[in-house]
Amino acid sequence: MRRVRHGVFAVSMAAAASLTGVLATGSAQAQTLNLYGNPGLLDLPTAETLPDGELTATYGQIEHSQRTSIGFQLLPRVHGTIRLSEIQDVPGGPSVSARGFDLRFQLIEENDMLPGVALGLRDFLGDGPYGAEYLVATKEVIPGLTLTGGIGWGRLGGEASLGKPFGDRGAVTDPSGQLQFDRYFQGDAAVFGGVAWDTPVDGLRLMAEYSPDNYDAEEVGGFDRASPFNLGLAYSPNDHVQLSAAWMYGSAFGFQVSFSGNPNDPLAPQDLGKGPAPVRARAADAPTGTGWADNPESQQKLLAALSEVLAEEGIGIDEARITGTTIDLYLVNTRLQRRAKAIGRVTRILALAMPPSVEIFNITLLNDGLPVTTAQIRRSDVEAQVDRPDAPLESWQTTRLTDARAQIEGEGVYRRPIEPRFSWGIGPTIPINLLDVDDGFKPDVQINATATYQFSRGFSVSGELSTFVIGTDQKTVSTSTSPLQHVRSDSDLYYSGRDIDIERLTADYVFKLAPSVYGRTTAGILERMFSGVSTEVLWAPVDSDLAVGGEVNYVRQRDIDDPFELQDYDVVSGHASLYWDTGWKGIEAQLDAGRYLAGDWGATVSLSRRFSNGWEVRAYATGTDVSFDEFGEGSFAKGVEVTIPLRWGVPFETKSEARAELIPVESDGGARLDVKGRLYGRVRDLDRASLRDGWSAFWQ
Amino acid sequence: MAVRSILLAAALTAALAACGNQQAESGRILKQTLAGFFPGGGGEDAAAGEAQTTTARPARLTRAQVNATSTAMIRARLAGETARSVLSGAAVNGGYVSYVSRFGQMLTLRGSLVTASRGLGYDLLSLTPGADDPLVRPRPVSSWPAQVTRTYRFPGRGPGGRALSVQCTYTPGETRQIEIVEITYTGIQVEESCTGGGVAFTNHHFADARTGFVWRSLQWLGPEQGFVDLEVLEPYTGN
Repeated sequence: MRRVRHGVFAVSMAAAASLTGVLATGSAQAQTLNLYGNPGLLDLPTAETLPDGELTATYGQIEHSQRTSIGFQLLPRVHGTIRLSEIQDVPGGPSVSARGFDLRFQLIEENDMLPGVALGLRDFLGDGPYGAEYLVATKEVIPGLTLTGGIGWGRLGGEASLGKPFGDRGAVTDPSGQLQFDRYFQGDAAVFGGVAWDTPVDGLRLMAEYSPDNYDAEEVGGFDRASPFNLGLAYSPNDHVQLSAAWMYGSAFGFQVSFSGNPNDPLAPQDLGKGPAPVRARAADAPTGTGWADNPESQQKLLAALSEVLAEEGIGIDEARITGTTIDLYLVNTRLQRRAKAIGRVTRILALAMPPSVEIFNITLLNDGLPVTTAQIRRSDVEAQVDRPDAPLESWQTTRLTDARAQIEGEGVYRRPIEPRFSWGIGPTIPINLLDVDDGFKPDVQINATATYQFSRGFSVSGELSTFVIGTDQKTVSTSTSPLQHVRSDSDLYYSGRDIDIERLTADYVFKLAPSVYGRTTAGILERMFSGVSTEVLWAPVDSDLAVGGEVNYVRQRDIDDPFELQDYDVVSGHASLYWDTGWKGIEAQLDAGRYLAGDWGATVSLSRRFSNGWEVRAYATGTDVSFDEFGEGSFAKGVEVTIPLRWGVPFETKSEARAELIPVESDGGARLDVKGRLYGRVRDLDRASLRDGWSAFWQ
Repeated sequence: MAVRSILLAAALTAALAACGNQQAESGRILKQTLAGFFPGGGGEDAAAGEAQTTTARPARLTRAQVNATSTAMIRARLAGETARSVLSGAAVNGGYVSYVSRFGQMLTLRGSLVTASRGLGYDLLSLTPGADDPLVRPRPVSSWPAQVTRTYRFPGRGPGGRALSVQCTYTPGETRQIEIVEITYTGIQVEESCTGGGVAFTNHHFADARTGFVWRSLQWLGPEQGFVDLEVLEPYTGN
């Protein structure tokens, strides 16, 4: 009888869990991306939004027109897209590639009363063939049925024009790549609209739209635009994949496939595995004598045991000093991606293991050989906070962060011998050419092998070799017409003629000049195209949102054929840099002003959005005294980089990350030395702002 | 039942401080103590050894085994999974009792309310119980408050992570009997409906008919983690 009742209870609870579940509510999210990789229907945009931080990769095609797009929800109300498009402008001829940039601003978010309203600019720098501006509104009128309507200019102002409410539309600047103020919202305007129905089949959406786009450029290449109506469907088998197909413009099939990921929505559980050590407060009557600390053997035993326990967390002790009341630790964290989690786990173990008289824990994490920040934590605070509901907030308030000294000072300091001195690694990388105008969408894959020999904590020699496993078809003859020294435009030549390339071979020395001042010197083969010497100094106090740095390089261009020979061209380059962590939604700004590799003078402005789990999307633009005409296509140097930590996609701890440049650096103006290991990247994860962002992991 | 005595690091270090002639043993003891938290790592703790045994073969868990540990103990199963894990009391801090499994996963309870989880997939950083929470302060079901407010915290940007507050109301159900490792309890099944912050979920509790102590419950741990089915095998009594 007992068993029956027991079973009934279990079944009823399980059923309750499955039936009630969790009902998430919130604003309507876009169900589909259009063929441009933007939130939309088939070819048209909508005023729906993607989740904040959503990164999408989309391939769309109509007949011979191909669009490869990378989209990012930059902010909750701002979406950006980079696109490589290929269209045929001669019947049967080769495709013409162009790069394009879109921006879209959400003016009104959809609610019970109002539709969502968005303002968009497509190909707004004039590089691509899809230049258009629009104002669009979208409303879910009944559950599952969404209506969209808008007014467009440029390509979207084609059929059934309403006239030119804001005057004539100017020509694209020459060269392109600049803001096109003579074109935005000018020329013919037309209305567009569509309807989407979310079917009862999970993930399946049907769509119909009226598009005023005349497809003039494509018709030159033979495309037949017979109708303004498009009909299609989209299917999302899961949150990360979407497929759509449509009968478009009365003459052709179009299709689209997209993949998406969100830094706030990891692919794998992030907290799976061994939890932290439980903490138990010291007994009120615990003896607090410090006599034990006078015995070196006792200290050695304690440290040896501590090393063993910390090693299980992937943490090594580099330096340590234990007194009767304080323990100082300089630690190398090889595994835990979240720095606050590493500090927290060490804290728990110390609170558990240290003799009762030890009250102060000074924990310093080293990053690439540099001690950056010391977290001073009082054991009594830990004991008063652990397991309580407000522990995350309170621990942040009671933890004291200071700039770490170069090393632990005082007597009786344990310093770990450099062991092992030699380390190596091998792995795949995706180099440039992801959205290359010359080569189209070509995800080359290299295998890179690295090796480092460590002479001391800050001094090492390292090298990197690479070979292509996908994408070996590189140029052997320069096609550059740049009037500047070919500091980047001939980069493809350096990829040809050899099976294995020497990417770098350098001696590196990093050091601290003062608690908040860092230094770096790098000499040797600094990058694929230049050898020389690079020196850098960085002032980065842990408590400041600002950091200031300076870098001076003397470099000579490497020979194309012989990896150890140099050409005659040499240059002194360098920058003064200002770094600002705005503290707003993870946005960081950087200004670098100085001299670039071609001898041009100017400045680079970078904006990046970093998420607490290490995701980062960075965009930059460089202006120098090289004129737009001299620079050529694109007018000025710009780029976008995406960094995704491997930890986001796997259920175990790792600090590895993947980084991709979406726009290859292929112009000679505004080209900066690609030296590895710049200081700000080494220290920024451990400043106050970064630690604060990730501090919720402290007790994890 | 109290928490497992071998986990008393304070006692260890007190001994270390007091007995200078035994300091050579401090490293070994420290290692054993820490390993004791994670018996899978080779600890020599007898209680932990039994926990391993019972976890590996949960069907064989007997009341005698539970009693033999002299340790507060719970058993947990994630909704949707079949395996159950036994977790032993490892630390008490301000009334919050942390239970650890043989794999080092942790649940923290205040009374019968889960206030934190670690290592199950998606951590519940913390849970602030309601001021008059019946799962924290047992009382007959007839005296349970009409509503309690709880605040969940999950990992997120900033020191406090992502907070989510819900209001919960209670609906008493039938009187039933359930068995937990050879002991039969008579109690009332109570439905706890919670809404707030864009989520809605329902917990289920089996509360002792006389004292209101919750011996078994299905509790929500978060939007990603879902529910945990929790049985109290041996409650923490502060002794």
